[in-house]
Amino acid sequence: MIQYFINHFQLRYRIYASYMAAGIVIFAIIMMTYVVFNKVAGHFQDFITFSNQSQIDLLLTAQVADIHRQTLIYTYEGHQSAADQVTSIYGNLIQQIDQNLQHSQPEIKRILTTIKQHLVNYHATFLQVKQQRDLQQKLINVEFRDNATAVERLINQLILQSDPSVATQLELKPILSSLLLVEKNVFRYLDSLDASYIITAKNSLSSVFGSLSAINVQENPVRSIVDQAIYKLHLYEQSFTQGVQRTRGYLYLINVVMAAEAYEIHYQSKKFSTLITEQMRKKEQAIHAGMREALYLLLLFGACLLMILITFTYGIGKSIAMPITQLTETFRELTQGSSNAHIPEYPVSDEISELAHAAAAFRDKNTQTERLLEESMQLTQQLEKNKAELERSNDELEQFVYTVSHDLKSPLVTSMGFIGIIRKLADQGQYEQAIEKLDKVTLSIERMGQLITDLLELSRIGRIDLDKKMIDLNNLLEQLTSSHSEQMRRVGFHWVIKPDLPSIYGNESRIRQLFENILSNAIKYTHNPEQGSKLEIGAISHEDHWLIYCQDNGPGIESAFHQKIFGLFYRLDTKQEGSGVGLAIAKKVMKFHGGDIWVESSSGAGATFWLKFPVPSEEMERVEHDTSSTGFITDRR
Amino acid sequence: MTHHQRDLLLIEDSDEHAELALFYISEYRKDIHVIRLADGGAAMRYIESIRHLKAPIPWLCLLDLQLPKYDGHEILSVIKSDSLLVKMPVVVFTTSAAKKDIRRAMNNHANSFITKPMGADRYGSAIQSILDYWEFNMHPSVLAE
Amino acid sequence: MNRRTFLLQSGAIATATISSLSFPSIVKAYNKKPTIRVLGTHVTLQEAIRQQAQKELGINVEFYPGGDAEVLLKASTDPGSFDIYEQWSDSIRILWMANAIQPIDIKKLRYWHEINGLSKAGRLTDQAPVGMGDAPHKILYYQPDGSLGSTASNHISFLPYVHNTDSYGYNAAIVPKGIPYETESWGWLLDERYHGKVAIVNAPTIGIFDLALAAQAQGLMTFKDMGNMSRAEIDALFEIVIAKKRQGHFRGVWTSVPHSVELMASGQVVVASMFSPAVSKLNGMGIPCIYAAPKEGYRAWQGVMCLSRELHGERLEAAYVFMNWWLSGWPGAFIARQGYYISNPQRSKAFMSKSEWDYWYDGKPAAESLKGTDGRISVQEGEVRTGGSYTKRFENVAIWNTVMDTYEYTLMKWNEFVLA
Repeated sequence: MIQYFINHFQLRYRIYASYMAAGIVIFAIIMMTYVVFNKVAGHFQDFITFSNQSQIDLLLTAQVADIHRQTLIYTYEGHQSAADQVTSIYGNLIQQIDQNLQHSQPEIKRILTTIKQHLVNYHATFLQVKQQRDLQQKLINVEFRDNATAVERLINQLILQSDPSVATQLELKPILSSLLLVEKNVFRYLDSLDASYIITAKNSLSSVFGSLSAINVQENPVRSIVDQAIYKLHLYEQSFTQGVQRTRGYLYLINVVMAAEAYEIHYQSKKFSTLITEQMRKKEQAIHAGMREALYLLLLFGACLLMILITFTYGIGKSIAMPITQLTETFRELTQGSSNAHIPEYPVSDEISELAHAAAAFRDKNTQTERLLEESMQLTQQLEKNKAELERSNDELEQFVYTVSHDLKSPLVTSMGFIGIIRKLADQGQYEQAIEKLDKVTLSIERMGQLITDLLELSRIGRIDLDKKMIDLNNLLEQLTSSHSEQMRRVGFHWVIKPDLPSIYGNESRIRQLFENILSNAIKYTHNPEQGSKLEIGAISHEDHWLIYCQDNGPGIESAFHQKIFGLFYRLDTKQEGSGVGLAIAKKVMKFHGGDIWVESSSGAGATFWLKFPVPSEEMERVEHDTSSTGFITDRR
Repeated sequence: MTHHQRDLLLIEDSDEHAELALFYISEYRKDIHVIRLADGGAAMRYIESIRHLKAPIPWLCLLDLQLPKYDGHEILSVIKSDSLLVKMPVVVFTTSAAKKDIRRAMNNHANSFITKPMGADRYGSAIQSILDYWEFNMHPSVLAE
Repeated sequence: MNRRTFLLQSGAIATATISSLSFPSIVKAYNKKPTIRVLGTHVTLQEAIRQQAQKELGINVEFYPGGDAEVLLKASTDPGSFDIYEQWSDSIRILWMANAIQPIDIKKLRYWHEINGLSKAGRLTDQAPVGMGDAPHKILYYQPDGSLGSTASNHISFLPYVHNTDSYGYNAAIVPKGIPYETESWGWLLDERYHGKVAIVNAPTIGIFDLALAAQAQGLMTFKDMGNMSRAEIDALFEIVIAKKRQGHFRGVWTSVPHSVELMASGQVVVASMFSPAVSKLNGMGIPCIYAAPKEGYRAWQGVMCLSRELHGERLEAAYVFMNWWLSGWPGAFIARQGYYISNPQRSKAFMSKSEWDYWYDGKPAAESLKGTDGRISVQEGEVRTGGSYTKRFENVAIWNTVMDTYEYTLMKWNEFVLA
């Protein structure tokens, strides 16, 4: 991810992205919180609905009890206010139910519909009760009384109009009391609702019918009145039996039909209550579970989102910090002067890439500086070397001057000294002796001349003989042999040259002089009467140089003198002729050719002079080839 | 003043210089016996023999510096590091007037440093001065004689 | 089909009292033919019967079916509103007292001699006990003093025709199956095992006897005469059952046959007073409802057909024709297929298949599957009618549906019971 960011987005966009991610996560968490709270609010709304419904339920239970009480009051007491109350409660209940029907669950709706149906039935039945009761009241209070009054009036009329004969009068009087009894029993029935009173009343009425019929059996003047009375009596009977039926009717309606409806309402409302309680409980559980779940989810989602955000932010941060850290490291290295500091890849063009470019520029500068430094160091080294060389050269010069002054002064001292002697001898008159001493002076001055010649020769080396070429040592030594063969033969000296000597690059005349000096030294100092004096010259090849050895079988040289013998005018043996410059020249020639010369020897075991020549480079050989091909050979000898 | 025979050790490679020294020494003091050694090797051998009491300690040593094999400085240092020979005065008598030679000889406890003069009579007078200067220097072995 | 429809279609107890004062309007065919208006319950006022009667008799017949209480009130208060009244024997006393009906002349009844002893003597066989309460014969004959009695006379208060025995039903899937006449008992209605799952029919003149029989069977009380309880006995009985109801023993009362079916089908009730159509319906629904044959005996009822006191002339004659037709065989066979009996079964036998007769009257297993009046199979092959044969059933009548003198009092007590 980090690499992807680095490779595809500019620094500022990465920073924007991390802020935007944070914003999105915050917004997501807010949205989730909103959803959760919304859900909870929804549950809460449900709870309120339930609460309202349970209120209805309570209302129903209370009001149904109330409505039935009012109904009973109306039925038994006849209070109109109770009837009004019933209608009012009914209207109220229906209104309440209707309101709740609009927004209820199907199950609750069904129960409420059932309740409503029962309530409607109940009220309709009540209206019938009312009607029956009104009819009953009308029958009892109007028709029944009217008929009773009418019958009584007719009987009284009969009593008045009929003969005051005992028989009829006697029959008519009990009729009146019987009628009274009927009336009394009917009201008793209405009061107590005991049907036996009606039976009694009916029996009484039957006896009245019987009596009146009996009267009319005989012909009598009041027949029409009696008939009229019987007719009214029938109406009278009819009115109260009807009254009884009406009473029974509404009693049945209220006690059986309405009671059952009321009970059903009661039952359904209990069911409703249970249902609501159950649903509320479920809802409560659902809310709890929902809340828990929601909170859990919220927590989980929140955690997840935060994790993502952290990862993302980490990635972004890393994508910003990593290149900077790397660049910082790079700059640290660069400030320490590194020229090969690693500059991290950075494909996108932004501030960091600018830094990377700066680092690259820095590195280039470092590389340049390093190169300059190296050059300067080389220069310094060269300078040091030159300085050492100069010092050495000064020392050499000093040594040379010192040596030269001594060796030049020595013949002067000798000459002057002998001149003094000569003068003294001459004073003493010993002229012959004085002239003898004159040779010494001459010799001394001659030696001085020789010394100057040698010095001149020495000074030439490396100063004048600059031409170099490839020299085949085999050829050179061969020539040397032939030029010195006479001398060697005279002293009995053997000169052995090993074959396959290398070719070296150098100045031919000086090399020749070198070997001449070595050869003349050998001839001069090697005295080996037993084996015969001998010098053997051979070569050993090394990696980058040749070693030429010149081995004699002379008395050898003590190790204390191995260095000194190469000094100017140094002579081990003063008895032999020589100016003491031969080996000094040899040394200088070897130095001039980039080589060296040293001696290996022990007293009495011969001496070996080693000549170290560098192996000629191909370039030298080519130059040699070129020059030889042009035939330009310089020999300054 | 009585002149006893005295040994003078002359370490000088140049025959001409040795002849000059001998001439002037013999001319000025007949009693001085010169032991001339021509190179450093011979000088070392002789010194060795003195150290082993095979030869008497000379009265005076004239030492040249430019010598084959061992040079004068080396010989001087050997002489002055020996408890017996240290008593022998060593006069460095050389053509050199170089400061480094003088400094080195003094460091090696040379008793004197004389540059060989360049002049017809001066060589003789230099020899005469040296001999005069060391006339009364008598070391024990010489005294014991 | 909503509850209201059930109520209106119900032929049972007075539930549809809403329309008690305004009869459903039936399109009348105004023609020269005499028209009779029949007021009664859904048990007998069936359209098939009306059509058959019109076809056979050539008269117009109008049916005005309604709930029990509704039709009784109508009849007892307005005799002019009907010609023939068809209901139960327990309404006779009320109607008679209300002077709503006129005596029926036996001489005009063609099949009087075929009517069996159940209506005439209160029992089918001599060894059978007569049930308590108003057995039909007690209120059959018109007495010279204007009252009703069992002494034979030329006039009767009603024409006996449809009748049956009732008991309680139980769901055999839940209630252990009992043995008819041996372990099956009215006492189950008050049995604690069925706490909360018992229902009683919402009719005081019927339900009170179910409760009384149950209380007696449980040994909770005894009655001097169950058919004519005293106020004290009623108080004692209701004390028991109201206490039970307050404890939640009863699911409640049912107000119609569909209501009773619904209660048992929904599992709210496992033991309940029941009418035979409800049992058939439940069995049809796959609920193993058994119509018990209680060892204490059935609660029996007698259908009655009465003439309005105000009926006379041509219409009176037409009414007699209709009454005679009812006993002429076809109607008896028709209602036999619904589980009801007719007072002269032999005449109906000719209108029934042998297997029908064997099953419905003789208590034998159905030789084949039998169809109901709606043409659908109502009895599967091999089924046996609970309670046995016609004779067996009516030899075990504990009580007849009766309107007691304490009717008004029981109504008030009933109110207490229902709302307890």
